[in-house]
Amino acid sequence: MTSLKNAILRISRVLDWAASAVTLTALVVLVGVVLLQVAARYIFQQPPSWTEEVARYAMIWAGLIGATMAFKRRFDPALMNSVKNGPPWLQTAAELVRSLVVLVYLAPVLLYCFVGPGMNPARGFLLRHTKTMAEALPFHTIWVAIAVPLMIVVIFVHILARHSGDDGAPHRANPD
Amino acid sequence: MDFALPVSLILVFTAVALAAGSAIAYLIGASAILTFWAVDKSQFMAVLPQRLFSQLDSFAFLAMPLFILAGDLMNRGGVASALIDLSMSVFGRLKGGLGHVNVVTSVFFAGVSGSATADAAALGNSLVPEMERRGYTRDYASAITGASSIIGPIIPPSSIMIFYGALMETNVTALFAAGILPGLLLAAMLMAMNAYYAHRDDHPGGADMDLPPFLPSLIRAIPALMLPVIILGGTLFGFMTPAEAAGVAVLAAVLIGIGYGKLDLRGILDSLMRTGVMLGGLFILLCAISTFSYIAALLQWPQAIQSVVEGWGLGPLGYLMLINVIFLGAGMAMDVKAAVALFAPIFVPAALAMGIDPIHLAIVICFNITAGLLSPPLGAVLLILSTVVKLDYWRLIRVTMPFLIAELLLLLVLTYVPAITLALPTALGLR
Amino acid sequence: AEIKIAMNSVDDPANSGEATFAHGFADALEGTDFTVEIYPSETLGKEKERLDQVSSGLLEINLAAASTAYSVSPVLKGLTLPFFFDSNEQLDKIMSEDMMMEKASAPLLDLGVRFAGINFIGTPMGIHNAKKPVSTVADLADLRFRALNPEQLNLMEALGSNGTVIAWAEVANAIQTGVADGYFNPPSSAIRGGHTGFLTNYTPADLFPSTRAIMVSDDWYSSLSEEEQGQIDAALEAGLEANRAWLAEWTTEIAERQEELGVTITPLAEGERDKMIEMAAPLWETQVSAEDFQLWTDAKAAAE
Ligand code: NA
Ligand code: NA
Repeated sequence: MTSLKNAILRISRVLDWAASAVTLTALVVLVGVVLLQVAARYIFQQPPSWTEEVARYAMIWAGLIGATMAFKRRFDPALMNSVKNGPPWLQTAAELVRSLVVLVYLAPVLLYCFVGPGMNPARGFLLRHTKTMAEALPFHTIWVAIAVPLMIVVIFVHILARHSGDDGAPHRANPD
Repeated sequence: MDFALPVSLILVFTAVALAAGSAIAYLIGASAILTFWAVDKSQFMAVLPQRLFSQLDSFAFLAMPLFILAGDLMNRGGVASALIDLSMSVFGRLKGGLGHVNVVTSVFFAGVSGSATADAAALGNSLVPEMERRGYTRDYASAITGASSIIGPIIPPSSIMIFYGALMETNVTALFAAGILPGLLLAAMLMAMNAYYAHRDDHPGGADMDLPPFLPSLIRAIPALMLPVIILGGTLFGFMTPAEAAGVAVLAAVLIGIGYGKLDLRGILDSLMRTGVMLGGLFILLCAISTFSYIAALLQWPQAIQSVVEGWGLGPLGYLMLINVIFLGAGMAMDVKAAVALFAPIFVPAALAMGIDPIHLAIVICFNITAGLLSPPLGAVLLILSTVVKLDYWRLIRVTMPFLIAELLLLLVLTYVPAITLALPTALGLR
Repeated sequence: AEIKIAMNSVDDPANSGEATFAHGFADALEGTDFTVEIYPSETLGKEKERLDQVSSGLLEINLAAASTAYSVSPVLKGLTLPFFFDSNEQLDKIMSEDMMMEKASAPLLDLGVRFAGINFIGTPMGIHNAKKPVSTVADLADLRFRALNPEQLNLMEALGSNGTVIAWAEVANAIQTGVADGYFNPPSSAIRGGHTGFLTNYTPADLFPSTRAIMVSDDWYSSLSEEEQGQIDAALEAGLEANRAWLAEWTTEIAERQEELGVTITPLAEGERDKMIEMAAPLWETQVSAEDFQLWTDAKAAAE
């Protein structure tokens, strides 16, 4: 039992480390591309048509994967925090309710990444994006869309970690 | 079909989840999902991944992470403190000087950014810690930061006005011109309130205070002062779009921070990390709102509301008041653009038919939904600010309340004295 | 049974070609078992979302941007061939050719979408700018225009002008501040965007028609009885008629509206459009495949 919990905690930590790396990279790309656009407008008189799209996609990656980091760090604001001072059993119950809320929201979204209406796998969100080209770039939008299920899966792992003793204090770079 | 049972179950679920301390973003999402089930529209949940994707795939958001990052870098790199030192040497003799600095900074920020949340995130990052360091309570520092952040979308440029103008076929230039006076009025009012609180609560500042000397402060602040010049000049004189200006601001903040000797690679990485977490918190909220607004649109809640209202037979003044109530409520409960998209097409045509001026009406609506950013349950500015400054959301709501009430009084004045909004557009020949 | 029509524009039949279609369609179904609900202003989602919904049967009818339609059915990219069409009426005739409809429909049908025709949302695209009256192609040389995509950029360069890609959300700011001097759009876009305050010069160059594609869910349509399908077909026809009637009136009124808003309308000088056609023609075969271009050329000839 303890070893399972430790394994979950370790996976959650590794995923968070990977998420940090991805988010940092995406933000650097975002800044770089926007600056390139400014430079191109003035130095070459002509911004490339793809910069805006790359910037948007980098933002989506940064934001969606950043959402897993926010979740891991319990950064998402709540309206009430009164249970914090309650007895242990109440806190355990509250943690279960909070996890249930996240599951109720994200499980259907994850499901419909893979299937369409009527559980038709041919019309799932991801499969559709394997057929949609980016507007000004030579790749399919699946490479952006994949961030949606990735985010959800990572958050689910972090939920398991919470019930295995993760207190939300990250190993490094606490955002404050 | 009888929806009474499922609807009460959703309400109970929501109440329990609220009490358990659920994050708002996930709670909105979960309640919306349960509504899909309850009203027998669960097949429509298949749209959700794409819905969420489209909500985020928007050029309009691009300036936001960049301004958050720039704000964080400015804070770490000593830009904020250099500017604040300078402002202190000017405003410091006044009681509550940093409160004035906070409002004035938001006015400058407003000339750069079209978004209140970006202002709140950036200034919450830099000015609030600084004010705390100088002896203000975190409550007051956060309250004045939140209250003044809504100057952002009122003074141009403003993404809300561009969005509204595009949707309702209203001249955006005229809207921009119309926003300037109300924005400055709001700033003046907040400064007056700040002066009052400063005397009542004995805020720092005053003649005997230890003030930074003016000239060294000015020289040290010159690089920092270049930032608003770059951003404002860049956008107002047409060298850059706001997102580009925000990108340049990031670069400038890095260079200046290195120049001040306060920023190294580690600091930049921490800044990026923090921006990622803040953007993530914002994105999951946008995701949830995209889910909620879809089920609301599908069930045609806005139209249902409209048909009820039509039965009341209000005159122009009453109708304007009603618009205030509706858009204030919409701004409170949902994303600003979602609020405009859902309700403006429903309520605006009737107002125009009553002879209400379209520019005036637009400003009243935009002012309204920005006030909603400061009010419960879903005050987006306060949500973001509460995470940035680490202050309990409800506490933040409470301390901001006096400012919000004053802003609503100003809204009433703007509503019933159209001349304030219309003076500039008229003078410029835009209407 | 309920029919949902989703669209981009506001539900204002006086000013929106989409709304005129939707209401024409709805009115024609009065007295049948169908009820029609209109979802304006992208309330059911943006272009890609609505395409997904109509293709999966969640949405019965979608009024899609031409670009959405040609992202699935490349031949429809011909709708935006610059200076290829002489008039909206000519395009209507071209689209009524069977070979054109068949080729355009096939890829959409694979996606579960029936292509029910073209809806007009205004007069054809013209040239807006903030600087000066434009009556010749030479007048374009020192102007920089906002481009929507690489195709528009190519067109601007082919006409000896300059383009720069800017998102629609940034257009007002970019033009007021001089990042760009104008754009290629129908007058209705400038009015709706509130840009007429600074885009004070307009040249009706008839670049290409302003169109939307009418998409019907195949899942839904196929599930209807033959009688019901007949009712829907008739209602679609009625919607198209309402749209064409609106367009005729809109076309006669639009110049007056622009002038009321302070826009100076400068027609192209004699022979200038022919010059533009000559300069833009090399783009035609880069914009669509050789085979598709042949189809458009044949359909155009057949429509004469
Ligand atoms: Na602003
Ligand atoms: Na402020």
